Amino acid sequence: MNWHRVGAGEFVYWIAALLVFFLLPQYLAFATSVLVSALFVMSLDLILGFAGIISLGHALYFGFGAYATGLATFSGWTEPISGTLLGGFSAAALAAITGPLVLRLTGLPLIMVTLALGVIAFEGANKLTWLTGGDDGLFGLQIAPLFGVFPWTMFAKTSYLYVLAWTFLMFLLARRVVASPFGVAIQGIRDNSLRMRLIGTPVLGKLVQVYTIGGFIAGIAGALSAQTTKFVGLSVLSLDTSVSALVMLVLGGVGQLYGGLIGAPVYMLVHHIASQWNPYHWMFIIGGLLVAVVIFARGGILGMADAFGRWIAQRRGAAG
Amino acid sequence: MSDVVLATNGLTKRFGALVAANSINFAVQAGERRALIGPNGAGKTTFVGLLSGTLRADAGTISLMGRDITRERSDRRVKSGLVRTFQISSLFRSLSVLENAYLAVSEHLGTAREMLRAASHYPDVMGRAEEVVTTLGLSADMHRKVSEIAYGRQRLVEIAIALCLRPKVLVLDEPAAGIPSDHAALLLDVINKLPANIAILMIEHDMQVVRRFANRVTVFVGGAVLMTGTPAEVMSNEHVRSVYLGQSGHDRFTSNSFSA
Repeated sequence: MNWHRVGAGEFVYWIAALLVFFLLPQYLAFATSVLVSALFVMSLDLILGFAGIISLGHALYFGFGAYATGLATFSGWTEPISGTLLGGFSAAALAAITGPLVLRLTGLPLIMVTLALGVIAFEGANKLTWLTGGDDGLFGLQIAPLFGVFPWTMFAKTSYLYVLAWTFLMFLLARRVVASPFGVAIQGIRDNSLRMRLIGTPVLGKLVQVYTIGGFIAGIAGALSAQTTKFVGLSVLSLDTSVSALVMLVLGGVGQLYGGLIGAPVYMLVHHIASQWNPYHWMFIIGGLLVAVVIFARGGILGMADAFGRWIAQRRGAAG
Repeated sequence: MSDVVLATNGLTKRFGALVAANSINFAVQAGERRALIGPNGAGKTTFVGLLSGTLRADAGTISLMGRDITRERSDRRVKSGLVRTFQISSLFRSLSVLENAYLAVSEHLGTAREMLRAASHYPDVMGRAEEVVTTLGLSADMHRKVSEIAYGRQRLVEIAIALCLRPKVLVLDEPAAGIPSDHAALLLDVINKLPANIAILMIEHDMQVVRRFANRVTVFVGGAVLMTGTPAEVMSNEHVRSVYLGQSGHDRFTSNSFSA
């Protein structure tokens, strides 16, 4: 069984991520935000790609993690690692509470309820100005140096490596989970939840578990966003954040963990370049790209790469 | 052979004005091979749905090994040993044959909650899944996706999943439906070789299959049990014959099958 095969491409990916630190020092702040998005999209892939939970409100957990860490930092909890963990565990707790209510649903009702929860959280944060700062958000977060040694400078060196380390750790966790017996079981639920029930699986319980893990990773991403931008605004909870993550995931390829890790950089780079070309109409490019991927490459960029690899192999076979 | 493993008492299910199961009293003993027959719409599938818990009974009780399971969730019933298969293959289509079996074994042995070790690192689960897949003659397709193998082979995967759960009562919903007759013969061989202590209920239309498989037959008509008896008794019963004659206009007992 090949549930946990390590490919050569994987080494390339993480080494490239490390090389960015040395080769593109002027872009580290941008690269940090790319990694935060990639991590967030990976958490969506875990629940959507593997467990089949289609959510339009995943930003709820990203935003909750960001606000939890932001508020703790504001009230003097400035140590970064425990701060990040706090964001993760807060979001996980929220997912564990909302999961049993939401995950009884499937299909359109599920999509609508996740959407509604996301919108309610957004409006809630907007109204609770005394807590969240409302529209102004929480700004000027002061975080203690990492390990008491490395300061968080505007050049984002510490930020980038810190986020890269978290992304890698969370990736290892997610890969462990999807390759485990539990991971196979959630893929079974995605394929055929009725049959899973009729082999004796407590389907709702399993879904809540994976939803909680997805919430945890999303919360970690939200916390990292708060810590590295030193700001938490309403946008962390916005529908736009949920939808962009979905677009990045579809672009990269659903259900492969790397879909988000590839889709986020591609989306954000195209966004970056296209908005320099035309700051008002960059969505045209993203929209066109998405249509092209959905029509011509159902497996996203990763699917395209796979197909290309097979094509090369065939040509070689034919030539030899 | 007198321990009743599965029994229903006054089991009733209504869909609006239609009574799909009308006060059904039914009992199966350990090791029994029981066929459920009846014309389309007789309530066989509803009955199986009630047994497995995908449908809720409006009245009556179901007991499994003396324990009332009428209100129990379907996944708990499976854990207690009541397992069913589906008339239309209901498999994990994006997973391989072995993975399909693995899921069932892993759930049965309780490893399905483990998160931190790779699934292939559970030799007892892998071993049992491979064993069942091999027993059913599926080893050549072990690593192929279920959606890519022949339909007749998919029917075997259906049974493999059920066997991995070590059932005490196995309900087979038309296991040979929609597959070529040579495959059907193979399937029946497999079913006939299942452990003798399992009680097996099989919904089946083909009377030759029923004769080869069953030691007792229960006839459903209009949501109720018409009669239960040996295959010979059932086939010679005037009442049963008239039900089938009335339905199709010619004597189905002279052909191979009750239904078209």
